[in-house]
Amino acid sequence: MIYSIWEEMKQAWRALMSNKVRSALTMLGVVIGIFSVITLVTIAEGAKNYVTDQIKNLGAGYDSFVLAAGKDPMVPPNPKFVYADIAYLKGQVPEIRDIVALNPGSGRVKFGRSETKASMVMGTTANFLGLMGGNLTQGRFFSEAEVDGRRRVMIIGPTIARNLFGESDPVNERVKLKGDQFLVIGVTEPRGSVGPLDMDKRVIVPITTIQNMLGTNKIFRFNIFPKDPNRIAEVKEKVTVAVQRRIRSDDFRFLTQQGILNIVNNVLAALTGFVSGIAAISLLVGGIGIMNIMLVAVNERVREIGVRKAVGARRRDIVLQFLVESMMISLLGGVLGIILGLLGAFLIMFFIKGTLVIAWWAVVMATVVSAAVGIFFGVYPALRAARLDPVAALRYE
Amino acid sequence: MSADGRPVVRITDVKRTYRMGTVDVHALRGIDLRIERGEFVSIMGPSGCGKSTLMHILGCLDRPSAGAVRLDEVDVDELDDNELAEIRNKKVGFVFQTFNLLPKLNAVENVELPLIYAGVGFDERREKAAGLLESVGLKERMYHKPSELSGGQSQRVAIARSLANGPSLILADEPTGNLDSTSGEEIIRLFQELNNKGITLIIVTHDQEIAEHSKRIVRLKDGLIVADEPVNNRRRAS
Ligand SMILES: Nc1ncnc2c1ncn2[C@@H]1O[C@H](COP(=O)(O)OP(=O)(O)OP(=O)(O)O)[C@@H](O)[C@H]1O
Ligand SMILES: [Mg+2]
Repeated sequence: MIYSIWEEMKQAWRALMSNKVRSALTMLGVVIGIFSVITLVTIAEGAKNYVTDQIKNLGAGYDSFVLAAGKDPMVPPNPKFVYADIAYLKGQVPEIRDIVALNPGSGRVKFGRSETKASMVMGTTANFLGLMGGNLTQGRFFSEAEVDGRRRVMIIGPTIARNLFGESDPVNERVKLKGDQFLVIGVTEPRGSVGPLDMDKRVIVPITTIQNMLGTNKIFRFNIFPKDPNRIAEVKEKVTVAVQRRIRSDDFRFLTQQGILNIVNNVLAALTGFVSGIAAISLLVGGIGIMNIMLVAVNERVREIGVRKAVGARRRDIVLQFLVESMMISLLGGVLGIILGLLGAFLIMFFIKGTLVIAWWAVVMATVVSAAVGIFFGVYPALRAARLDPVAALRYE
Repeated sequence: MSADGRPVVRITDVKRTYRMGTVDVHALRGIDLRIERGEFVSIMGPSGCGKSTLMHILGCLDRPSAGAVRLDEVDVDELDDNELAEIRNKKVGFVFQTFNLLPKLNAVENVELPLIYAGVGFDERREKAAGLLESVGLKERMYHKPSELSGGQSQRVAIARSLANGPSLILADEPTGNLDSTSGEEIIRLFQELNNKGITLIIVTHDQEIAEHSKRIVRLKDGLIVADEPVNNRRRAS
């Protein structure tokens, strides 16, 4: 049986090769179906990885969550949080280990005649460096006393350091930000970009200092670190109650790694379902195309079937011959679809600077499905071929 | 050749009726025939008398509407389709007027076909097929496609194919019908050679001269045997 399948495969290959254009057109439906699924699944897999990385970089790692002002992320927030809320929350929720406050902004940094383009200016608390990761290559971070004293000190990213100071040491140099003089006290290590944000062009200043400059005492974001990272949900609930009591509204939201991942997964699942639907239709159409061509092939080869029967082919030999042929068309289409799909995903990942994660389960499944399509839609033509009466088949012109 | 009690073919009262709408066409109306091992029989008769129908039944390509067919001591009537296929594969070799070679396969691959269905592995198959082609004088044409062969050569490839599994019986339906007289002469000489080696042959022909190369002539008319006599002055193919 194994041996005769091998024989049939060789013959099927020749039959397909003797009609290259027709075979190629026939497999197109399967190619498109498999291609779309493989591209999407591979991108989705890469996107999950990418998003997980981004979330970690943005601070909502597995060990913390974000409390942000404003219920709707699409509406500019009107924050009601103040610096004193750090102490308030810690007091209300003893399970909190620490809280980092963050106020995002932007501005140009000037040194002598050089000036940067608008950089991300982040106001934060003194515990930022220890809790949110990252290291300094030069100098030091600011202290709690400097935050309390609204000191004009700043830590700059390596790209800014290079652009403004070249090879010389930026630490203890004075620069200007929004008209105010700042003392550079440290340089962060290179970290590259997180999505659109280039971390190496970032400026970090005490949150109180930036509040002062903007004439506000409000805070946009807290990163809350529970003592036990496994109890984020519980801590979140307690924080909700405390915050509602404090600001007397629910104009705030949380971001957790799991929450963001859930959203991403939901979107990807919806997309996968949609593309799978398209792929299924395209496989169905492709399968019907294969069936059609196989019926044509049977008609073209009635005499051949008669000859084969005359020299001893059994029904099952004829069935096998045509099944192997239809399976081969479909399988070739599937393999082509997989290759094109991976290539497509690779190109897309290349352009969005993501890493290609090949979902092997999808590759295996695509192979099995395409072979199955060929077999399923090949059965009817193959049975028709096998049922031909040998004498009538030999007479056929 | 005298009867040894184990005929290659023994059919009794074989009838074959085709139903054409409301009319029945009686192609064979009761044929009795016994052919011994080593015989060389010609079947003759006017067009439409049932010669091909008889050959198809003898070759297990078709079943009779009535009557019994015994091939090589096997009651064919009792066999199912798979067993019939095996008989066609192993016990009978069919040679057609139009050769019926597969155009995409070369000569040796065409000869290999029955061996594939007999489950013979590649090396053994190729060796055997090459040997058969050599025995019909076509060793140099092994890798030629049918379109690159003359009619006579094609028919010799077909004969090599019919011999592939060492059948008990070769059936040839007008094997020289599509050939010029020289090629026809070559084919009939090949048949005589095969018969001399002990192979049983039945050929259908319209040509009295061809028939006189065999040992016995059976004449059909309207689906019945009207004459069955030995050839007295047998011709030798030159
Ligand atoms: N499939 C069929 N359906 C209906 N009638 C058939 C069929 N095959 C053969 N016949 C009829 O059966 C009779 C015998 O046909 P057959 O082909 O056996 O004749 P033949 O002796 O081989 O003729 P020829 O010398 O022309 O080849 C003819 O009348 C023919 O029309
Ligand atoms: Mg005929």
